[in-house]
Amino acid sequence: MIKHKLIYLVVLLPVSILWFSCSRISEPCFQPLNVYVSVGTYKAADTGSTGLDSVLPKAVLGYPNNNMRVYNGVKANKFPLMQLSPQQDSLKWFISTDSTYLGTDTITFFYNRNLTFLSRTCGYTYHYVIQGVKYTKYNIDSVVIKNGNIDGTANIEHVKIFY
Amino acid sequence: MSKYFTSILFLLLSIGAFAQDDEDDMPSNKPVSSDSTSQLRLGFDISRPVFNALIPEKKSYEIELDFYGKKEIYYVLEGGWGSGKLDSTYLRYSNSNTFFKAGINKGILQRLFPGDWDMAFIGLRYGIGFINRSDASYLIVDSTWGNSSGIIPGKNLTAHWFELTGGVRVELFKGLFAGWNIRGKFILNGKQLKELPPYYIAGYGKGDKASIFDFNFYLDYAIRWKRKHVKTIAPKED
Repeated sequence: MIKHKLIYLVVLLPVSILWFSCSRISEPCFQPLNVYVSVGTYKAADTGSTGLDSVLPKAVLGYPNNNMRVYNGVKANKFPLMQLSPQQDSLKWFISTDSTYLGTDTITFFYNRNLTFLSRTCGYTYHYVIQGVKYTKYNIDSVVIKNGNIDGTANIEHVKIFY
Repeated sequence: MSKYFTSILFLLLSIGAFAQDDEDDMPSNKPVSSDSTSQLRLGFDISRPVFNALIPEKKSYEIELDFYGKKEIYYVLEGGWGSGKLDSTYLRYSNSNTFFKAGINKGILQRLFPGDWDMAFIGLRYGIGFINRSDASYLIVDSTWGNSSGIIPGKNLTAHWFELTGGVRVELFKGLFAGWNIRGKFILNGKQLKELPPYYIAGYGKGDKASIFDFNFYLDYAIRWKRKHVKTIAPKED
């Protein structure tokens, strides 16, 4: 009788082994830990806010305060890897259309930083909301913030630069 | 959610299959119910200390108390306590909690004789957990601007959830039971726990999961007494 009853109890054994195995699988962080500002360059049009893509022949983009170049002489019109600083409320970029640095412009962004919880495995990161922008006009015609929420959402262009 | 329903259903069907074998072996003229006896049963989940030793970042202890009413309905109270601790590169914090659950179990097997207290059951629970989450220290790794770190203040939280459960209890010796529960658990106030959820909620599970599969393995001791003024249901006749 006891032996027969033990069958009921043994049913749980594979379940418990499976549960324990799953519990021991560590959870890696698959989310991106940094968010980026996506920039596009355009030819200014009469409407002001729309424009044709403007490929920069040897674009140089970076941050003057640490003299870091994110793009260094690339031929492109999309620059998706620019960042804002989690340690400041404003940040200056430099942007040159070619590597001669003639007519290098600077763009200063003013923004709010929001500490954002990602997950238990990835912890926290900063998201940003751009509040304003100032820029020089050696080569740049205008800068438009299309979407000021820098939160890691894919396929969004945040800043349009018109030449 | 449906996968938990399916899993529980599958296990209960397998229990039913065992039960059918028993019925085939027994004479057909048998009592179907006996509500003349009350039973109070206290149990301790003996699997938890084992898993506490094997998984040091989670600790929990669980006890159950059930009372047999009648018509195969058991009134159940469960409770316990525990803690969880996360210590990773990006985040470091801990939490502790107590919890209580209330609900019912419904026996789904026909008794083979009046003193037959073996049971397979399905049940429902409402659970509540009172959680104390410690200060959390975080580190944001950034190769461009340098790492930054900070502290998120601790918080007291309350978690609510409900459970679908099923399982068995078999009486190995007089009054001494062993058995298990499988549980599908579903958080009711997940949004309130979303911002830095507790690492581990004793009684529920991982604090960032909206639904959880879990199980317990209990050792119980029961006391019984005869009821006054209770009609005994007559055996069925074929």
